[in-house]
Amino acid sequence: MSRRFAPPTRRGRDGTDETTRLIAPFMELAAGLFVRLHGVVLVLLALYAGSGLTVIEADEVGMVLRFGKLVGHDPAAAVHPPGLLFVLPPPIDEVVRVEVGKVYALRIDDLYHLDGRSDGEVDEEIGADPIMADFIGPHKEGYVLTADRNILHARIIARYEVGDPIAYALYVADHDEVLRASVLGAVVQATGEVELDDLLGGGRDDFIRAATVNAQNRLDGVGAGLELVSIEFEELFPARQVIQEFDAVQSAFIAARTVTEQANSYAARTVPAARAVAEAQVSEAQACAARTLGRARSGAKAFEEILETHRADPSVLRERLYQEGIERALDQGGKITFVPAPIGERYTSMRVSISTSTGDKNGE
Amino acid sequence: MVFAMTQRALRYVAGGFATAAIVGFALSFTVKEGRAFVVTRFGSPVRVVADAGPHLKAPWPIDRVSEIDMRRRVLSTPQTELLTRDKKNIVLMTSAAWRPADPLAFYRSVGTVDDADDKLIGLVTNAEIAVFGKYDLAALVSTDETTLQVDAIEEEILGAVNEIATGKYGIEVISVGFRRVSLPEQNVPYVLEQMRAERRQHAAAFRAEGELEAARIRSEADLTAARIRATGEEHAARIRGEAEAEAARIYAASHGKDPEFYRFIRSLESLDRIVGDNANVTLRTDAAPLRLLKESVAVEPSAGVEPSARRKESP
Repeated sequence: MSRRFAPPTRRGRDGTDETTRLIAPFMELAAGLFVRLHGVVLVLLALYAGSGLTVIEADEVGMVLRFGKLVGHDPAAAVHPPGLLFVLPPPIDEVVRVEVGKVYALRIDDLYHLDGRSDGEVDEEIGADPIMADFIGPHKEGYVLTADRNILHARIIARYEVGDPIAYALYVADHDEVLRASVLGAVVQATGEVELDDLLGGGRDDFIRAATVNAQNRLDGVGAGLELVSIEFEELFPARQVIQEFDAVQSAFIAARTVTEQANSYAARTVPAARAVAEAQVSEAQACAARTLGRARSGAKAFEEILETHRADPSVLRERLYQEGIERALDQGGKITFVPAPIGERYTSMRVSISTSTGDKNGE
Repeated sequence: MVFAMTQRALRYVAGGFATAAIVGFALSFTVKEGRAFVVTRFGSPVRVVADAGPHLKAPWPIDRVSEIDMRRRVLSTPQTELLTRDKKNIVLMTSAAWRPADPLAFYRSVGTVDDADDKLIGLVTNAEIAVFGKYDLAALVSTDETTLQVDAIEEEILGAVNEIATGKYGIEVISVGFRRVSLPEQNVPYVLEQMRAERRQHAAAFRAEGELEAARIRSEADLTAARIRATGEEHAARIRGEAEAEAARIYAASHGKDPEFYRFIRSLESLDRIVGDNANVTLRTDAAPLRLLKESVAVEPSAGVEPSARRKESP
C-alpha cells in the first residue's frame, strides 16, 4: 500500500532509509496531529456542504442563482416561499432574498426642500431670511405648478411593496430613484391638471387617486417590480409668501359662516315667536268666542226664564223690573232733580242728562 | 504508514482542487442575472455574453472580460431653462429610465453607467429644447384639459432621445418624466401677485356671499313670521266672527219669542249703564217711586210714568 502512494525519490535507498529513521518520530507526531486535523477538515467539509441549507423567513421569498443564473424556468418555480431551502454551497449557488410582505416608505422632498439640505438647514434658512421677497429660485426650492398656475410645496410619502421580486432584485438598479422619478412625474403631471382650490379642497382625493394610478403606470412601464400602496401628502401648502392671503380667505370663510349662522339663529328666534303670537291670538279669540257664546247662552236662558215669568204675570213683573231699574239709576245718579208733573203730558216722566266731562272718574 | 498515506491522498485532493480552481478561474467567468459581459481578445471585443451562468474564455492575457450592468435605472437631468412655443420660460428637471440594450455598442461608445448618464442628460436636454419649441406652456399646466399634452411631450422626447441613444450608444431609454416644472426666478413675483389677487377675490366673494345669504335668511324669516302672524290674526278674527254670529243667532232665537218684552228689559239695562255718578237725573214727582208718596195722599190714576208701564199699570 505504502509503495503505491510513495512518491518517487531521486535519492539513494540508504539515504532514504536514514532520513526516514531520522524523521520517523516527527512523522509519527505529524500523523497524530493529522488524525485530529483530518477530523477538523472533515467537519469543515461537512459544514461547507451543509452551508447550502437556507431558511427563508416568513415575509421573504428567496431566489437561487446558480453560477449567477436564476434557477427555475418560470417565476413560480424561481421564487421560493418561506421555509427551508436546500441549495448548493457557494460559490455555486447564491440565495437572493426579498422582503415581499413589507410595506416600504419613501419620503420625497423634491417639491419641498431647498436643494441638498436637511430639514434643520431649511428651517434655519427660513428663520434667518424670512423669504418675504417674492423670489423662489427653482434651484433653491422645489414646488409644483397647479393648472391655474399657483405655486404649491409638497412633501410626499410613497408607500410601496415588492410586486415582482425577480424584477426588483435582479433587473432594476436603485429602486428608490426609480420610484422617486415615477411618483414625481405623476404628481407633477397630475398637479398641472388640477386647480388650486380643488387640490386644497374637495378634489384632493381624486387628485391623489389619479397621481397614484399614473405613478403605477410609470413604474410598470419601467418594469420596476414595485406596487404602490399609496401616495400621501404629508404637507401640501401654497408658497410661504402668500400664506397671509390664504389665511385671510379662511377668515373670510369663517366670517361668512358666522354671519349666516347669526341670520339662522335670528330666523330660529323670529319664526317661533311669530308662531307663538299667532297661537296666542287664536287662543285669545277662542276664549273670547267662548265668553261671547257663554254670555249669549246665559243671557238667552235668563231672558227665557224671565219671559216665562213675564208671561205668567206681565204687569207685576214689569212694574218690579221698572222700579228696580229706576232705583238702580237713582242709586247711581250723581244729581237727581224732581219736577212736578206737567199739565197736559208735555214731557215724559224722567230726564237724564249725562255730563260729557268724565274727568273725576278718569282721575281715579 | 496509514497516516502518511492519507496525508498524501489529501494532498493530491487539495492540490487537485487548487489547480481546478486556478484553471477554472482563468478559463471561465460567471454572468449574473441582469449583467452582460463583453469578451475582448487582445483588447478588441470578440463576443458578448448576455446569458446568465458560467462561461468559458481563454486565459489572461489573451481574453479579458468587462461586466456591463444591464439593469434598468433612472437618471435626472439638472434644472434646464427653456422656451415654450408661446415664448414662456420654464425650468424643467427631467428623469429618464434607461438600460443598456446593446452591450457591445454600449461598451464601445459609453463604457460605464456614469458616462452613460452624462451622455443621456445631454440628449434629453437637447430633445426637450427641441420639443418644447412646438408646445405651449398650457400643454404642461392648464385648466383646459384639451390643451394638456404631457404624455405626448414625453413620448416625443423619448422618441428623439432613443433615435440617438439606441443607435449610437446601445442604450434604450424606457420612459421620460418631468420631475419638476418650475418658473424662472424672475417670473415668480408675478405668479405670487396673481395668487394674492385671486385669494383676495375669494375672500371678498366669501364675505359677500355670507352677507347675501344672511340677508336672505333674515328676510325669509321675517316674511314667514309675518305670514304666520297674519294667518293667526285671520284665524282669530274668524273665530270671533263665528262666535258673534252664533251669539247673535242665540239671542235672536231667544229674543224673538217676545221682542217687545226684550226691548223693555234691554232699555232697563241701558238705563243702568247710562246713568252714572255724573248723570243729572230729573224725575217727575208723579213718576215712580215718588208717585207712591203722592198716591198715599190722594190716589190719582193719571200718574206720569213711562208710557208702556203706565199703560199696563192703569188699563
